[in-house]
Amino acid sequence: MSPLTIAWSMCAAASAMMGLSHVLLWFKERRRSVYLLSSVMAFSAAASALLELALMRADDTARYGTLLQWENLTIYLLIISMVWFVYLHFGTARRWLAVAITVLWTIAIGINFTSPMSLVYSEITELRMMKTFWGETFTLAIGEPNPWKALADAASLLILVYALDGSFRAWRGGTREEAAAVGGGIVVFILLAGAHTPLVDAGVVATPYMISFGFLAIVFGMTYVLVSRAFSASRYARQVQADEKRWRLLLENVQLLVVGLDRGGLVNYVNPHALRLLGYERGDILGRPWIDIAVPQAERPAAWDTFRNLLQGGNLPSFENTVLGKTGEALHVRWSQVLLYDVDGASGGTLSIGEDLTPRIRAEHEARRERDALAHVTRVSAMGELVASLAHELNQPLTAMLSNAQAAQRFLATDPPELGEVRDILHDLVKDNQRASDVIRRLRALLTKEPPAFAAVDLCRLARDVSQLLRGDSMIRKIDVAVECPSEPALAHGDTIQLQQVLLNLLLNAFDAVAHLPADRRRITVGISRRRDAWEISVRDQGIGLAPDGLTEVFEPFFSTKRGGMGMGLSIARSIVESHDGRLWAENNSDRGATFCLTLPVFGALDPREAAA
Amino acid sequence: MNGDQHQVFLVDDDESVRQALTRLLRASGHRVQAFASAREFLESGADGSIPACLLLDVSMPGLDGLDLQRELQARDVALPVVFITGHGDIPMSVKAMKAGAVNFLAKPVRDSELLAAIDEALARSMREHAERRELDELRRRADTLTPREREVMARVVAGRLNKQIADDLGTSEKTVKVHRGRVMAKMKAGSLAQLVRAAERIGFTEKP
Repeated sequence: MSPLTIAWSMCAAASAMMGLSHVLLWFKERRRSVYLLSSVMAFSAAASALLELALMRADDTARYGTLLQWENLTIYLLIISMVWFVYLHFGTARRWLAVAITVLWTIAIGINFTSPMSLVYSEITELRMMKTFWGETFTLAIGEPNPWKALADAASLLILVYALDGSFRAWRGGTREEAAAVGGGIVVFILLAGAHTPLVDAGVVATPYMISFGFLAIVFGMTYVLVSRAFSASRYARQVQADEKRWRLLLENVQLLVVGLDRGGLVNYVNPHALRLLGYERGDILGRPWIDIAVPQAERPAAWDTFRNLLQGGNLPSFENTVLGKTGEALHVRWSQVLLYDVDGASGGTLSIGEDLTPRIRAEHEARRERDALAHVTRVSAMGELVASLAHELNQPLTAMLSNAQAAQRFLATDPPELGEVRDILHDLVKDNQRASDVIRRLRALLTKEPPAFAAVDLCRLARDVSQLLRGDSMIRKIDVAVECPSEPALAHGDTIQLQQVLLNLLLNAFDAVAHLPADRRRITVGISRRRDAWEISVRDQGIGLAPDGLTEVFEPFFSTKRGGMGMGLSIARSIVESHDGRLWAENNSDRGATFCLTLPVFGALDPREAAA
Repeated sequence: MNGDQHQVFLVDDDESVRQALTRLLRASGHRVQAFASAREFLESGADGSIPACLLLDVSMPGLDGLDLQRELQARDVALPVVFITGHGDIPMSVKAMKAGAVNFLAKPVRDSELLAAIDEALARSMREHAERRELDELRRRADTLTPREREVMARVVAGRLNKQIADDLGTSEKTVKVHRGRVMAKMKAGSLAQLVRAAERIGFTEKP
């Protein structure tokens, strides 16, 4: 077989192979019309090679002209495909240039098929037999050039501009390799089609047409671009797969609830931790409406609204709600929501990540309950210290009542009975009974195990009540207790019983601090004053004060300087005050003794909305 | 004790108790004067010039019952004290009794107990008053004696015979007898024994 035949056949075969593979790619991915365009280019190149081979073997001018017409068609198809390939693939080329080239070439190809000797020649004068340097012969036409060929030449110039411009912009845009491959292919093509071919046409160079090799270069460039695109796409796909595996592993193992919902609110993903917490099997819950299953009935309409709002791109910061498990047990969960998007950019549902706060909330409840219980126990145990005082406080009205009653008996026994006196006595009996009941009531209140009830507390009344409760004790121990109240009512937000307990504790401690001192130092002042948005109660004694370490140590549990003291009093007192959003601390006075201070929020200032209402 | 000239003082800081005890004592026929504090009582100037007793609460702010008892002793006011207390303990009551309290009663106190204690205290007060009246009378009588009669009386109560007295004073036995008769008359002594006891009680000495 002759070298020419071999070379052009191989060129055709190579182009056809590439065209075939592009067709296969296009079948795989119909949406990508670039594959179709590139396969058209490749098949055109193959056809072009075969036509060139036929031209070499042509033996009459009519046949030569017809072959040239078809050859021009392949050139036309290739160029148009190439122009639009570049346009679609890079997206950087100028559309008007592509349109202009298409229009010019379409006109040119029309003229090509109307002139008998194609676009190239208006007339072929002779067919000359040429010889290659290795002695093989081939046919070459000699004739008058067709003036319309200028149309195709102008289009070729435009292609050069178009390709260089598009490639350059793609190069700058970052797709350098592809720009070089396509740009390089086009340059080779232009060299062959735009320089070599006119020379052959003009008879200056005696070689066969070699356009198909230029085409091969372009097709090769295109193939390179597409293959490397496909390659990087598949690498990207593998990467995505690996990523997805990693994320899924994370979701499957994270100690958070993860629930995916589709657009309809049906569960399309739920992680094992969520299943474990809720007590569901995956099959129980996948494909079912999450909100109708896991949200308490009362909250469902609101939850659906929220979900739909979220799907429409509404913003939803993290929120907390109650989630029901399979057996109806409630979890308290804080959720963060992510809106997921489909490949086409539409919202494809949500992914919710939740933290189960139930154990923490339960622990907080438990801690509060324990603190209240401990407060109660210390209150009850503090009763021991109050016994003497309470006995005195009960004894007084009892004494008055007994003596009054016995006096009444005597007044009634006189003749005539002194009813005026008896009436006064009955009045006093009722009064003293009330007084005794008050003592009992205060005592019972302190012993109560009711959970704290926060309300407005009149701090002056509180301080007076407590000092009243301790009156017997202070009298026996000859301690003077003064309560200094502000002119305005001192209303704080708190639980009366617990605050009484705190003050009781502070006063009993102060009693102990001064009991053994001379009379002029057995004096305790309870001051109540306003400190910006808080009330401050201070219990000031004239004792020996506290050691520097003691100022903080006294608040530690089991710290006690008293014989038989549990050492819980101040520790409990502080936790009570802190549960009131207040502070309790101790300081030494500048002269002598110590002062225990506590702050409590002013009633009404706690919640600005309440204050406004 | 009804009808007698006497007085019960009451000191208790608790108004209800004070009022009730006042009523009970009045209903029992006592004259009662009540005070809200020890200080108030001291400032009233009550001194026990008539038979009286003090019903006193132990625990009070400021001066308490025991303080007041001490203060009265310091001022030499003879006033029997009955303590009442809501929380009496033994050391406190011992201390009070040692200081001369008549009784130590626990609140609430029954009328019988209270009145018995008051009666006892008033009886003591009256006894003391009667005694003091007698002494005053004896002293008044002794004051009427002339110096010579005092010399004679001192020797008579010392047990000396008329003769010895006459020798001592350098006078006649007869004169001594006359003085002695005057002494017995002025001192309203029916016998030598009575004169001796009277002398003892007023701590009689030769020089007034």
